[in-house]
Amino acid sequence: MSSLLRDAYYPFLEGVGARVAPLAPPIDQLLTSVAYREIRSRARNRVRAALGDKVIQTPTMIREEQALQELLGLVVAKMLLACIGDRVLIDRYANKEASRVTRILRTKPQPGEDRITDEDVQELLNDTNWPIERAFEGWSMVVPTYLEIAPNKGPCKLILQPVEKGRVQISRRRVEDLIEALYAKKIREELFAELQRGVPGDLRAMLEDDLENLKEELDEARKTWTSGDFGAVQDGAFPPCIRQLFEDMKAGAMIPHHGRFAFASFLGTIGMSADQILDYMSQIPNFSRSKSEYQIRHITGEGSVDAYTPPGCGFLQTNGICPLAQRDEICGTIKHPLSYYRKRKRQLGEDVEDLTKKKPEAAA
Amino acid sequence: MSEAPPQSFPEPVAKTITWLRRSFTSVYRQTPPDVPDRATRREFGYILWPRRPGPPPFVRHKSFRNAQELRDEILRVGPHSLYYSTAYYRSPGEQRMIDKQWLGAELIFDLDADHLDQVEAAKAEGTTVALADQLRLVKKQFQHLLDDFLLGDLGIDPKDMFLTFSGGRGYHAHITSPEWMKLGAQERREIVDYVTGKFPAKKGTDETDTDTLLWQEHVASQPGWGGAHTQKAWRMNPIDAPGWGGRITRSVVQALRENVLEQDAESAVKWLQGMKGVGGKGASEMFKRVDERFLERLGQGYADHGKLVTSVIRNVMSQQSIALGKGETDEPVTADTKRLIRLPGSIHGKTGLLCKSLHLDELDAFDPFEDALAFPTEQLVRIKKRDKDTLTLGGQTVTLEAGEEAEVPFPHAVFWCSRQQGTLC
Repeated sequence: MSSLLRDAYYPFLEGVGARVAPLAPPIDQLLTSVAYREIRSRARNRVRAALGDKVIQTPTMIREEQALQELLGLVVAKMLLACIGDRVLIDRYANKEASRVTRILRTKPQPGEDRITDEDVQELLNDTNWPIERAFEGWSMVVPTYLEIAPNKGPCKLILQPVEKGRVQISRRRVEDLIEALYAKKIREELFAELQRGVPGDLRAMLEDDLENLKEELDEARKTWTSGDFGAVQDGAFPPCIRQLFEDMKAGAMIPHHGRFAFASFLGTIGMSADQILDYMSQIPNFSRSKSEYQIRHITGEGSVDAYTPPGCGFLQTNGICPLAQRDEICGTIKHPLSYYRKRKRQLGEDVEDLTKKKPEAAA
Repeated sequence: MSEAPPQSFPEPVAKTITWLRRSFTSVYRQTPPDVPDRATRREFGYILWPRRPGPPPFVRHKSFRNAQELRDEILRVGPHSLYYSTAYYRSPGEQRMIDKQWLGAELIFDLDADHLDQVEAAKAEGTTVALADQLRLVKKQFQHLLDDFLLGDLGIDPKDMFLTFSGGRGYHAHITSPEWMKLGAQERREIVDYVTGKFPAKKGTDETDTDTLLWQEHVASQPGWGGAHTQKAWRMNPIDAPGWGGRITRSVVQALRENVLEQDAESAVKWLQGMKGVGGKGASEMFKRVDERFLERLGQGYADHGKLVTSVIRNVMSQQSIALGKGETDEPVTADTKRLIRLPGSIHGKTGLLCKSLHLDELDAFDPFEDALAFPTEQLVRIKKRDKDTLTLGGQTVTLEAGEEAEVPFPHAVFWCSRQQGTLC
């Protein structure tokens, strides 16, 4: 496989940028000329895939020109993402693009070609600076490095790995997972750095039409993303942990920081504003609105930073916030209090009073 | 509004607290606490002796430019308890955590007697385990944590680790090598899950996912009507497999050896019958099957003995083996990258014992009631004891009746008084 074709399949290799640059047309032509319409369309489709459920496809590439097209499409896609500037979208794109590569590693680059052997994988790794070392059987790395790289859920969890004398033995399957994680991280970091620098205004202007359309689609798509719309707020559908926290607060118990955070971020994420949360919490005896206000506004993102989402069940259990004995049948099926809420709400139906529409009772 | 707490202590209590504060300070004057490495990058904090009822003040976000400043401060305030951050920061004295600029944190394993199964079981029954026994139990668990997990699986070099007795009811291990110190809270939680044997649950259930521990393998196929008949067999990791795979198999083999092979028919069958999906007939059949040869094959990973065996194995895995194999650590402490922890060489304000640094090879012989005394046993102090109690410190056993006034050795006096079990008289 020529090196350009290889780069197009595996754009995470070191030096791809330097190999493409001398072959690329001037940037203004790439973004405006009719000759490169195909490339721009391919770039838009990459971004669109990140909006919804579609995967990013790898086209069949035989000639070097096809590889170059693919690589230039990647460049334009990154510019589009940097211009849109949505961090969640970048995150989704990074995961999709990385999983595209893993799909190739798990099957084969193209129909008719041989499966990718362990040696092929190692040759790819040789052209990266990733800390994955070849071992007698498979690969290996020291535990702290593994923890930094590997996703901390699913089959990659440390407890499921063969760990011996400070090293994790890594199977073919796991090395594919690690490549995916490292590639996604690389894309994220590149794009976040791009965001920091900012895209020059003249280039942005050239992409204006595309950006308009994509931003509209983004607004639509965002509604379907997981942390999106929760509808009317119903406290009857709160999970046991959140109910317990509220009961404890009402009883005047000291709630650890993580508990207060989980409570406020939960209410914030399901659609209550900071003021509504403060009103809701005023049922607590000795509740000091002024003391809590700054923290709540921070958590719900009404200050300068992004809003926080509440921690998952694993975190709540580790920190002793989950009332283990009070878990019910829904708890057994979910891993996050928000999923509990969504499920329970579906069970209850919609015809329950929406707390956000309720007026706070006038203070006596 | 609840009734406001009283504004001052009764006279004997106030006198006792003053005495405790002075006693602690005089020890600190002679033997100042250890100065941790990179002390200027650490945050310090302390609890003061209370002046009035209610929670005592906790002072934190302190930083010091040199060892002398730290020592002067300790002598000036005479703290009840003294802490330092396992994290180091660019500006440790800043009030807001974000302004401190985190640079890294030691990886901490904190094992406290509170969390031990035996102690929790006793508490649930309304009884207590004697402190000395708690400390023996917790030390045994701590050694298991060190040998099996920290030095074993995680391969931590003993020179990158230091140990302390907390002065209270537990032990701490600090890991200080740079590659571990830079890990964030998420990664540390993975280590907690590893050490405590927290396997992920099967999707949508509370059941442990055992697929990586016990699985089916295709062993043969024969042509037959409507396609090939495949033959599958159950497999486990061999006992010498790295990580949890081998650990679980070792525990299963050990549980079967102790509860079935080495027992008479009656108690073995009873043990087996206690399992989900094993009836009376199954249990006696299983008892007949378990012999040396059976356990040896199992140890090599061959569990291919039909449904009965796998359901026994599954049961042992879910109840027994993980409890046998798992380590213990106070989970939030290990996962927390900004924790304050007791300063080695400081005195624990609820026991009067030293928080003491230990070498790995000292741990075995270490007896906290002998080796962590901060005060001289020769000196006597007259106290009034609240409840009946017996205490052995520094080889001297003292028994006092409820309300008794007596002269007791200094360490005993501090121990009881600091637990509000006695007052000076």
